Amino acid sequence: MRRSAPVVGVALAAIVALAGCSAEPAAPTVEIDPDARISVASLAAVTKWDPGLNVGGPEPAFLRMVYDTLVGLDPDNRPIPSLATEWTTDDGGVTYTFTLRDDVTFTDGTEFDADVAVEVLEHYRTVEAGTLKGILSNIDTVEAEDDTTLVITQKTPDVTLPVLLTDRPGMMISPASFAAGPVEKPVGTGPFVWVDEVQTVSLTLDRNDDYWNPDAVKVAGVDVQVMEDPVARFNAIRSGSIDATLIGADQIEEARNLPGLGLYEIKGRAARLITINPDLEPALGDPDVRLALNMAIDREGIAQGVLFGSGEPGDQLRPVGFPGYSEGVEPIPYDPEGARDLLEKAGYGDGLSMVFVTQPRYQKEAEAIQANWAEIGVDIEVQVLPGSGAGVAMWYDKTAAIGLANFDGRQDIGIALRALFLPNQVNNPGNVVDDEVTRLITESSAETDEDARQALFKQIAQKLNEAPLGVWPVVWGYEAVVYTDRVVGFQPYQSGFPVLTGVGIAAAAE
Amino acid sequence: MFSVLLPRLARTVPVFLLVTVCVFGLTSLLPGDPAAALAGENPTPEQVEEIRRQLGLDRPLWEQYVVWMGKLFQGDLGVSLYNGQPVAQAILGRLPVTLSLALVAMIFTIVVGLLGGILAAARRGGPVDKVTTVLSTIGIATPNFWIGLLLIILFSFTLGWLPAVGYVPPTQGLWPWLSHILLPGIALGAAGAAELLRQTRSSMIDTLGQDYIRTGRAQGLGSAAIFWRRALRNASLPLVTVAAFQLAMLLGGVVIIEKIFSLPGLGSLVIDSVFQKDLPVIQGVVLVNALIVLVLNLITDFVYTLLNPKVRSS
Amino acid sequence: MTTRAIAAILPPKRAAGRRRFLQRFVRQPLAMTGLVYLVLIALVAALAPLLVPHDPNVQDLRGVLQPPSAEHLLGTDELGRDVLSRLIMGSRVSLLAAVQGTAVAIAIGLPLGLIAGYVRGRTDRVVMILTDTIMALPALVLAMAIVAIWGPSLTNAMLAIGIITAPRALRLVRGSVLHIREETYIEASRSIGTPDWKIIVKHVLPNAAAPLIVFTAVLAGTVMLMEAGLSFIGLGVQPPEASWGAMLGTSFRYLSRAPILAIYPGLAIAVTVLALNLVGDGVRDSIGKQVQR
Repeated sequence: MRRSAPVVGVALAAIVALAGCSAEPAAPTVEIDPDARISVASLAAVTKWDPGLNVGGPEPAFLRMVYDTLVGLDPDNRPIPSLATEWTTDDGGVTYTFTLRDDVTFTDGTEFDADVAVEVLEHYRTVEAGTLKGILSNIDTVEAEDDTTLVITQKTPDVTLPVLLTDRPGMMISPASFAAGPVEKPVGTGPFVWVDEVQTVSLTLDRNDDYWNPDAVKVAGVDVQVMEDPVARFNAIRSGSIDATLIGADQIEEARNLPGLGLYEIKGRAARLITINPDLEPALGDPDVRLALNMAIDREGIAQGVLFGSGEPGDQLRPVGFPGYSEGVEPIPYDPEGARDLLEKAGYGDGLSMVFVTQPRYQKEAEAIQANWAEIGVDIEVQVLPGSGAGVAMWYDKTAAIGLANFDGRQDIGIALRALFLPNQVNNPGNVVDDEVTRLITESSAETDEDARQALFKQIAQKLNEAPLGVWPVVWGYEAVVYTDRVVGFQPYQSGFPVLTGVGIAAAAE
Repeated sequence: MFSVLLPRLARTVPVFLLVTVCVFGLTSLLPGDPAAALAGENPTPEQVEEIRRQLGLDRPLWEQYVVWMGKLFQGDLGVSLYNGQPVAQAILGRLPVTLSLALVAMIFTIVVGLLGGILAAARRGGPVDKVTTVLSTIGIATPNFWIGLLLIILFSFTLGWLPAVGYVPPTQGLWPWLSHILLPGIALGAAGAAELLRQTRSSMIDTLGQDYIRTGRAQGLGSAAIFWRRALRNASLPLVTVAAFQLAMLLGGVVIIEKIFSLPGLGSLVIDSVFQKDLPVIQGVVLVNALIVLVLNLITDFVYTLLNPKVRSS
Repeated sequence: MTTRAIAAILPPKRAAGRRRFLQRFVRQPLAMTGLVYLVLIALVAALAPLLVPHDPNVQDLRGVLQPPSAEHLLGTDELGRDVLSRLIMGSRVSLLAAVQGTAVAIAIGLPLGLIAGYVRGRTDRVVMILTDTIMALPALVLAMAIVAIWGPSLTNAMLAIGIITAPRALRLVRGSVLHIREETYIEASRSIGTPDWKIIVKHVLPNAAAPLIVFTAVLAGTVMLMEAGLSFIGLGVQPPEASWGAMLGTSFRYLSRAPILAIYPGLAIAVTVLALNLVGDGVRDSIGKQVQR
């Protein structure tokens, strides 16, 4: 979190903690086999090794193994020092000054310094067909004051800049790798180095023996197998042919009941959100209609029935207890009667009918919502569009008035709020805005005091629950990282992917 | 013979061209915009446009078609929109899986179909015949993916003998490979086996009653030798037909099986590309498949002509 | 109904042939069993709204994937809906779909096959090139593409399947026509100046009908299987409607929790297709040798 005062003391403590923290479970220290490799199954590996061209999704998990980011993340998804040891802003969030480490070298021999950081950021901002341009659009200038000082100036105040740099925009890659054309083999400063890969099938990484945080890597290498089907991944770990993987809400209960498997839940990376567009369905422009529709959704029931209990109602843009969640905000009640009354008052007592799009993953949730709304006289036709069809229909082609899609929470609730509730955002296709909410969000972008910022978020959450705008959270679906009992050291990182620094394989005693 | 085949060959060329037009036309009509999906989070319309230009998607359709055909004739199937992997490489990478599946399915079809059909014909009217007939009738009626699901429930969940998902290449051991490919192969080959059994049986029954078997016996050949020699010769016709038909239908039939058993083969490649509108991959795979089908048809006709004297003379 | 009564309803000219056919048909136990089953299932489909013990779309989010009980004879599905009710309603969808798809295939294949086979020449060549093209494309993939383009819905899926299976019907009809047109009575008709269309309708069509009827039964089965396939991957019937194929598709996700959910719809499909095949076989065996294959 950003504070006006330097965070050196905390940073040092964090580094020491990270380095020394091989994070064994509370049991007696287990001996780790330094030559063991860990095998992981994943939904996808990497299609583009240039973070500036990568499409996101599950892929950054592997980008992170090869590349370090300027700012790191702790298990609770809060920013901590990484390649940047501290960062400050003196002008309320417009300019940030980052102090960089001076002992880091890329695996191709290039020294990492502020000039490199400038080059990389410029690359992300200008590369043709780049995917980070939108995210970095608020950056005005990037300069290297000296070897270890990086200064970034933004166009408007935005205190979430350091958080942005915990993800792809902050990944430092060797300029040599993109100098001659598209990145073929990744060169980074990270805990692992790229060895080999077979597109859509497998990826092999070895330990980076020269890593600047040597104790962080406890395995000799990582072998990734791509398995798109969650059932296949689950079966693979059951049979022991892989050591760790990510599973979904469907399988968490089963996984808990299996002996010999460890598990930790990730709660905030897969929300199901409804997006609306009143331009295509005028009824949705009426705040009473919006509130009524929200009141008719049995969020608790969906968490229980559809997600088998591995989920929770989406009352805010963060799950309960997470950074950004506000205590004491009234959730929208589940009240079909009240919803029906509201609809009548709004003039839709005879009912309403719409086309509702979704992706195959969320067909069940869509059907549950369909049944909920049928009870208040709202008939929706659910259209399951494969691939990215639902998103395209809602956000780009704008042919769908309403739909359900995935939301990974973004790295910071401020970023999420901006993307969903400010005017002219892609994820707010109907431009549904409220002046008060807009003002609060813009204020929060410039608020450097964390507590004050939280207070603003609380106000926003309250307003959103009294008068829903263009995006409505339905449920948070949990995911879980599952691992065999050979594996030690997993920290419950809420970032949404298995973080393999600090993880090792127990020395053979099988 | 060639008077029969030459017109067929001549017809194949326009068919192939029409296939390319269809494939291209259909995939361009698919909904979805790969440029939007590739643009990452929150792109501006300009960024999406930039990507579209880079992928060549902003050129008029007929121009894209010509470019594609040009590359095709140079043996270049293009590159996947999503991961930049050459389509040819993607196909070759997935081919062993689908081929393994086809192989096991084919062996199952032939062995069960032929033996069952011959056995049923030999013991015509008896209990063996009745049972096999019933089984084969059921086998034709059952969706192959249901058979797959049942096999998983029985052999993986209940008995635990075989794994339910995944593919292991034969380089990692013959039994691991077989254990993973056996269930899907059987599911895929069951309908063909049933069909082949029925056709073999009826073809055998026709043959057994014919004169030249009797004359063969008169010439002093042992009845077993006659039986097997004539039997196999007559079974060869339905065998070729069913086998060719199965291979031609392979890509379609294999899609769902690959999904159920999580096999990274051509079927799942094509289904994913259709959903992602990854045009080059769809076009490449479907075209290669069409080519194989057309070639198979030609071969079937050829073999048919060879084996069946009546056709030859007409 | 006696065979004579049935024969009495039919046009007198062919009554004798028809009566012989029906007499032979009813003597085949397997075919009759198939027919009885089809009639029953058609009745179930027609009366479905009256037969369902529960509303097939009512969800019970707190009672999902329940085993069979007094309340729910076959248990509940992944959203707590009654499985038996969905199976019954599903029969409606699946059967209707099969009829739709088959009808489309015949509507395309029959006239084109008649024309191509009778007229021959350029028309025939063009038609054959078109059919070869469709048959060279993998069926399921083609269906997926067509449905994806037109939008996922059961009607679109059936149209797609109809188009894809039409070539088979076309080839069959064309083959029959090629045989029939060589007959002397056709020659005779032509020589006295009867217009082509009249010849096709009065002479060719009735003789081509018999193998087509056999084929139709089998085709309906194939169409049903294809619909199941498309619905399995989510391109056929749309939620919350159930078809047997769609039920089979969703059951896959919960295979380890509730395998029984995969058995019911698959069984329903298999038995129905089986019945269709048996009836088809029965018809074929009853026609006898008087009609060319």
